[in-house]
Amino acid sequence: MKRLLLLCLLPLVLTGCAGAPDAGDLLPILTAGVSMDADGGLELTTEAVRQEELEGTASSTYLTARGDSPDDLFAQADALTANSLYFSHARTFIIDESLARAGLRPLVGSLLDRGDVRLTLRLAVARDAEADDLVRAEAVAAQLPGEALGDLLDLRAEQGDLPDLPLSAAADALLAGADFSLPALTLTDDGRVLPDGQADFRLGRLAGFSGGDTHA
Amino acid sequence: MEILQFTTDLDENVARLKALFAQDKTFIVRRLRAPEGLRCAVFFFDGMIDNQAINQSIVRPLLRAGLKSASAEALAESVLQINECRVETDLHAMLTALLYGDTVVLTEGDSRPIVLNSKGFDVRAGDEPDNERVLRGPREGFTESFMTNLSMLRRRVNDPRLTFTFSRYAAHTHTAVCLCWIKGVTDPALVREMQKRLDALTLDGILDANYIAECIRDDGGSPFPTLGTTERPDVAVARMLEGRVAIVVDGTPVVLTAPCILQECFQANDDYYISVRQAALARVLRVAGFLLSITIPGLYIALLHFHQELLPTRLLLAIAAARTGMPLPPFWEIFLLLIVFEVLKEAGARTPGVMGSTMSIVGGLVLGQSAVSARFLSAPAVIIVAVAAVTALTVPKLQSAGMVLRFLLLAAGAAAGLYGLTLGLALTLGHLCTLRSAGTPYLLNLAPRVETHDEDVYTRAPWRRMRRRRFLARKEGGAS
Repeated sequence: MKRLLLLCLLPLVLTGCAGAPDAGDLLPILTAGVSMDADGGLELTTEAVRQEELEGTASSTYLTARGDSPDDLFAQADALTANSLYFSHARTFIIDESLARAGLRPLVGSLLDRGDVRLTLRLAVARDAEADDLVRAEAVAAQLPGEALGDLLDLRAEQGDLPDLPLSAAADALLAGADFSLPALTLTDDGRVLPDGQADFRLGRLAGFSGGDTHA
Repeated sequence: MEILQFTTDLDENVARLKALFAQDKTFIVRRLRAPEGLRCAVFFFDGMIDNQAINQSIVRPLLRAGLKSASAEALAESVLQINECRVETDLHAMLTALLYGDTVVLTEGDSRPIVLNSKGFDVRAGDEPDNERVLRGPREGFTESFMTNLSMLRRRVNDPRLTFTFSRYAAHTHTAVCLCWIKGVTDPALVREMQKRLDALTLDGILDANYIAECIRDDGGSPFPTLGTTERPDVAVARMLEGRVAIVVDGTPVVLTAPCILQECFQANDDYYISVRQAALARVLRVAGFLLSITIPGLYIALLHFHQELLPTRLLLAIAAARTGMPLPPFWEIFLLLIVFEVLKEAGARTPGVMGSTMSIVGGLVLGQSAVSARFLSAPAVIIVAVAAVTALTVPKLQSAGMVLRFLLLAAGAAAGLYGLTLGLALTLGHLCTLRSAGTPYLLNLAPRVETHDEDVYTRAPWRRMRRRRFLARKEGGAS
């Protein structure tokens, strides 16, 4: 009997969840965008979602961090709040045109190094717009902007209108030195985010844009 | 029991029996002297006998016998007008019978007592057992009366091959126990094994079938039942028809059946009395309910602490919102709520009907709602424990196993997430694979799938397709 009691108590003592983060400790990110300024400094804008009450609705909060390199950028972003930024629910990662032209390899490497980034994360390139503005753009429907954008990209990729290249496939192409294309996103005059052709990459750098309704 | 010896002197014998039960005011001695000279004494215990039977079938015939004297045999054969009457030379057996409601008659000049069946104590009606109710089907349930219970079995199996083996166990209570089986259906090795286990009992008293069950069951430390129990004669008979033995114990409505295998824990009486499709759905729900009840608390903790990425965004946000400002970590919330649920269940079971339902409302609804409103506990934790509690009720036979597994899997999920939970389930499965009940693998028909008879495992086959002799039954006339 004593042995059984000890056996029952042992797992309780050994429970590792005491140090593990609780769901309430996390700040889920839906969309993130990276821009690069003229000096090569990076700026990360994230759309974090938060629901204050069980009966309430979720709302977006935008956080901005600066860094010299992608690794530094994510470290600075993680230090912004007491809650950990949680990229597992992020659906879209928008890259500024200037950063895309400088090369994706360091950024993709940093994303892959993070344990919470899904390999299904969609990468997109900002076309004639700032990544920061695209992340902050309002959704038309009564939806979280990040969710609306993710749904839109999923739908277009399913219909074959956009390149269907998640993070895993983009990383493979980068490592293989192959050419690939990512969806291009632009901001309309009324402040909506719309897919606008595709960004073509050669040797890991943005070579140019092709297609797109607004550039036909 | 004290050693008792009778002589041919009636007065001496009466004195000895009176001395034996000197402290017992319910012990009645009725001396008789017939006009012709026959002297007898009738002994019985008040409240345990049928007064009318004693007056009309024992006292009156003795007084009107017209004999000067008679031997015990002569009285038993020609005078006493009662259906069951024997001259008993074993005084130990005589005393046991006397204490069980039989009447003893002694006559002058003969040291051998006559034992007459005059039992007449009140017994409860065979109402439908509360914990084995059916929507459709027989409503009769076993009672505390030994012979009534056996008659319920006999009434359902009109076959001379239905066999009863009687024994008495326990040093002080001398409780009657009957091993029942059907010759040609039950494996004789199983009968011998169960009889051997019964004969090895060394208890002082047996007041319920569980006294015996704990002594004769396999792997007493396992939370899974390795001995079946039922309070319904139709279930007991159905199990005997499948090759099991039934053990009827005097003084309890609970009948034990062996062997017990896992699949029967998910079978309900209704399964056989309702349509096949309805029964199949109900059985699937029971299996799903049991699995959900043991895994959901551990799964919740595993997802919340280790695998938040598996939660849909909206669900994660809702849980995070509900968890905001909670004083306890999720593991302790669930752990304490499960303890409270077990306490409520225990209190509800011990509380009289009306108060029990009041307590369920106060304990379950009001307390839960207040705890969430006061932000002592989060709503998802209450929901998870409520789901675990409700689904656990779908398989009453595995309530004990379910409770143990729920806590163990909760700890496993909290220790190592889904990996811990999977390991816990694998260990449980491993334990089930090692279990046996009276020599039969506990996972018979489930694993290993050798000579599987699966007409009644996952779902029930229609009766017209059901095999005559099912999984445990030996071949008719052949070896097991």
